[in-house]
Amino acid sequence: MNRTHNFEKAIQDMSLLYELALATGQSLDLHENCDYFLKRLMGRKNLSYSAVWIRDNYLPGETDQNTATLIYAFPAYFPGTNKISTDHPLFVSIKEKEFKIIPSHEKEFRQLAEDEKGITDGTFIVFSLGEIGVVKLYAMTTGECFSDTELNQMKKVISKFAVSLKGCLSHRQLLTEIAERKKAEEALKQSEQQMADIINFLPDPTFAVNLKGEVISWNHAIETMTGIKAEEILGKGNYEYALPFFGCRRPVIIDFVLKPGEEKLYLDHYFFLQRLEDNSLIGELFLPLLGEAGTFVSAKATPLYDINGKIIGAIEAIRDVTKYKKAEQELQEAQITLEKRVQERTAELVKVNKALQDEIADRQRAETALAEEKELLSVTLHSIGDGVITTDAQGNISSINRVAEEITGWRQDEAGGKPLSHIFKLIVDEKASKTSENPLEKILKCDKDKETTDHSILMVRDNTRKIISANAAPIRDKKLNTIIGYIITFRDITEQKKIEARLALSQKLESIGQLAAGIAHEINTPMQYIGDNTRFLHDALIDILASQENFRQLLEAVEHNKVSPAFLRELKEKEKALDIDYLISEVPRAIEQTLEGIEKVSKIVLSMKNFAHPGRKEKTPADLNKAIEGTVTISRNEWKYVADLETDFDPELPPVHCILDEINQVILNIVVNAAQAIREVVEKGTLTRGVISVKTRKVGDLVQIVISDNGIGIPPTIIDRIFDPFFTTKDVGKGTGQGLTIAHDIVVNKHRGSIHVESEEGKGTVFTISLPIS
Amino acid sequence: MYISNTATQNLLDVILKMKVTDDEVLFIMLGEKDNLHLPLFISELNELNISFFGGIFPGIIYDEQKYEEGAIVTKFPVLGKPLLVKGLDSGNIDLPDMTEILKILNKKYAAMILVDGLTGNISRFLTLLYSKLANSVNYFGGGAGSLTLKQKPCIFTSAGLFQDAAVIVFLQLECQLGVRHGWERIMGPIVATETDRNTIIELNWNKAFDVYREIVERDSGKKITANNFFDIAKGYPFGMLKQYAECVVRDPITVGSNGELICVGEIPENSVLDILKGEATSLIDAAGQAAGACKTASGKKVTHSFIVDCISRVLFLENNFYRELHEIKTKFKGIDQYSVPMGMLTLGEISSYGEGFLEFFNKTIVTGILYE
Repeated sequence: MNRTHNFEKAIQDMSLLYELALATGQSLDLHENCDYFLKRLMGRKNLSYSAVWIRDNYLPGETDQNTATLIYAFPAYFPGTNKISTDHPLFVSIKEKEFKIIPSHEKEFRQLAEDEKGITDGTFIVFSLGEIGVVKLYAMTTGECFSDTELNQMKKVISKFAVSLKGCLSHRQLLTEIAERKKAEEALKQSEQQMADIINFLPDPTFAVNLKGEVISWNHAIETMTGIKAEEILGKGNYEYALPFFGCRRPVIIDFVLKPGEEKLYLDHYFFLQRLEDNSLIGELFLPLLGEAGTFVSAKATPLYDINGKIIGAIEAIRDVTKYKKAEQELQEAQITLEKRVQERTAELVKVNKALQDEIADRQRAETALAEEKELLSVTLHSIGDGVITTDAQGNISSINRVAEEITGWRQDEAGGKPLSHIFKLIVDEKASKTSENPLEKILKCDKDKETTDHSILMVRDNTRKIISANAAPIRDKKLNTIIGYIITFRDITEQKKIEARLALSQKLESIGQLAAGIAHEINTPMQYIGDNTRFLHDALIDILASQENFRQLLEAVEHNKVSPAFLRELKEKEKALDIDYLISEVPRAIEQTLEGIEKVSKIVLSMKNFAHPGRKEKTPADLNKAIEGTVTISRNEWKYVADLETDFDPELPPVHCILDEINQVILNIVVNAAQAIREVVEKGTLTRGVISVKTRKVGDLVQIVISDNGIGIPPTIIDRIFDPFFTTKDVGKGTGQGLTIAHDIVVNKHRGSIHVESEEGKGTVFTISLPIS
Repeated sequence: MYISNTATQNLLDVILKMKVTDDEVLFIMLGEKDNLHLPLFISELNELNISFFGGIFPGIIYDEQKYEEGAIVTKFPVLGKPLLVKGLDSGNIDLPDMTEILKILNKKYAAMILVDGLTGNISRFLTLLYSKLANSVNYFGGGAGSLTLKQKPCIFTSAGLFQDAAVIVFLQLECQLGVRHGWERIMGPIVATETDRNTIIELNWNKAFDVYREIVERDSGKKITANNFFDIAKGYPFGMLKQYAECVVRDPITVGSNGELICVGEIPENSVLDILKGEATSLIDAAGQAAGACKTASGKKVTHSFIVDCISRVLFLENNFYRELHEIKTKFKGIDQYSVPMGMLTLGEISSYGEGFLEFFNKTIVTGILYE
């Protein structure tokens, strides 16, 4: 009977062992595996609590060998902590043991119970999980929990459980690694997307290739430049990208970056080709196939590196510098012409008025500045690439490229993570040196309002100011359509702005030079009769003094009663010879004429001074009628032989908020053009004399200046091009082709006005300039 | 008290006389054959601003009698309003916030748990509850529903009448509990080699019904057919081994078309099972032992003597069931001479077994003495 009972008990124990053994390793998920096994164990053994502690160095992402983490506990009610040291009594209690039973009457029980809420008595049963951790079990009974046989069974089962836990931990490690890899891949994708966005956003035509020479990026600007869409070229190698530029497959600058030395074979294809310290290459060349008449381009290629610093490809940015090349040439020509003209005119001007000498001194200074400018222009033209800064959604800097580093003076390692305003200080109040608190918002607002940001002044690291042209755009997560950051591209246009200013000044001086002869003539005429009159007055004074002497002699003779008939005859003869009556009638007229002449000269000189002197560069309220009158005066010699100039000024014209100096320039350009247009008609003989009309009027919030002539007119074929840079119909040396371009720039860009032209060939032209009053 | 006339107004009159205060909750046990218009009754109780909960059970127990009609109403001082848990069948069980209750719970108090006995995921619900509260409270309760085994709304609170729901009420009463069943092993161990929640698909790698039938037919000497399965099976439940305690009973109630056995309560896969057999004497003795286990409440100010008894014991014991009730009452009298037992006949019983794991039992009796 007893044997039967023992046999049945053994069968029952084996069955239970079987059940518990099968309950291990039911899931690769750590928690599920613990849950399945330990709940079964608790149910069968009537336990109240179970917990699994794993040494941290076995957990993914953890390395600490001296701490352990609670990775499972049931019921969740009990645990008071989830992290303990491996010096904790829980670990110490089973050091070099497989298990330990700790009833509540033992001191160790209290130490172990500190980690759970509400456990005051009962029994802890702690099993080792080998090197990975421990299982802590709790039964509320204080009696004997397990027989030796049961403990042996449990020891075996728990050792299997430990093996299954190792499997779970390896699985979790694998999942973590997969998740991290996926995360890294996502980050890489996002980074690639971000890079593509950045490249796409760059205003310069840009493309990138991998080490195989296959195109991996082709931005919108290069699509526009070449007419080749990204989808047509992405992935293509074998110098496919050279075709739109050279018409054949051949290495270009981007290839020289990846194959150093190869550029030596192609040096004669470039105006210059230079390798920089960072292994990037810059070069300049003419591409006859690009554009209608070929294009001058400046190109820069740089290696692309992975995070380990290994080269993975290269990127090339191309910039159309035709305009600058022409500007450079025109500047040279303008300088030569100007020099020649100024030399010719200077001699005359020096004679005429010292005020003009001052102006010439200004011009000479301008010449020097122009020479310096030429050097600066050269530097500008030779530098390519824009500054690019990317930020996160909060405006903290993520990256800053080398050009941006150069412009701002801040390095990537210093700027990364900082708010944009830390390095990108846009001046909002120059006097107070106050910078924008939110430069990103300012640029975005300018973009949104279509305002130019060319006037932005950047205070760089050493507190110097740079004029920059900046744009910003959000970078979007295409899946979520959320803004994940911003990209700010900008270029230092300080030099460009200087060139523009010098060009304007050059054109202005050209105008002055052109006008100088006329002005000299205008001044010479009154000066001539002032001289004649003065000489006449000088002679008259001598005669009057002689007459006075005659009168004194007569008085003396009368006093001494010595007046003889002969004496009286002699005096009468003398007086007759002096012709005093004539002098009495002519001297006042001569004085009046002289004063008129002086006034005339003064007016011309003042007008000239007002026109030519570089005035205030800020907008101030100005009397346009008065300004136009002055401009008309100094240009008189240009039109007076071929035309009459009529003015019709609105007497109620309000002061206009403008840079008067620049508006003068616009009026002068148009008036001189009008005179030249009439001259052509007069020279053809179809008209003996033309009319130039200058009117001002107020129309709503605008002031309009209407300048019309009945000259030769502008052919319809070129009327759309008259504001284009360097477009001119004048003979070589008579115009730079910058006059109307500058006029357009002054009116439209600087004053937010408009300039409109209507013309009929053979009948005349009307320019209407509209300027906002405020 | 037991009320046979459950006309709404009559029931309300009785309840009004009970003077349920704001710190108390009214508990209503209804026999499944009672005709009380529950929605109207719930609405009226809400009008009276009385906090309440209750269930419809296969039967109710008062003193030494069981009833299928009528109602038993009583009131408890409570730690908070009844907590309703809905949607047990979905598996996404969202327990209510118990942070405040946890602060005032202690091991002496009792939590009454009523659950729709025919819903799914009862074990999961109890596991979640136990994980949250552990042994900070003494649990007792059982499964409401119909003996027809057709699921209907059977749990009610002021929020309405629900199925697939449970209600938890924390009583401001101390308690002593007893849990026994008295079923004895006749065969085992056998292994539930394939299961799906409350369905045993295979026993010892064979069709569950084939294995079960062979054993039971051999013991009972009766042929099991589809028609008499329940009649015979009610005397041969399964027992899941629990060391140092009575096994946990699982009651097979029907056979599936593929020979699987459908039980009340879950059977984890690879569970080691015994086949049990009931004898009236052992069951009645067990009931007495359960009631006797509450004896530490002797001398206390007893407010309730409670019985949660499985309806299948009634079916098995038939007329002997009254002996079971008598045995319980006798034992309760030994603890409190004024004791009048009350309770419900349930589809599954709930209690923490001794001081351990919270379990959902079958064919078991849970007794409780509640005292101040």
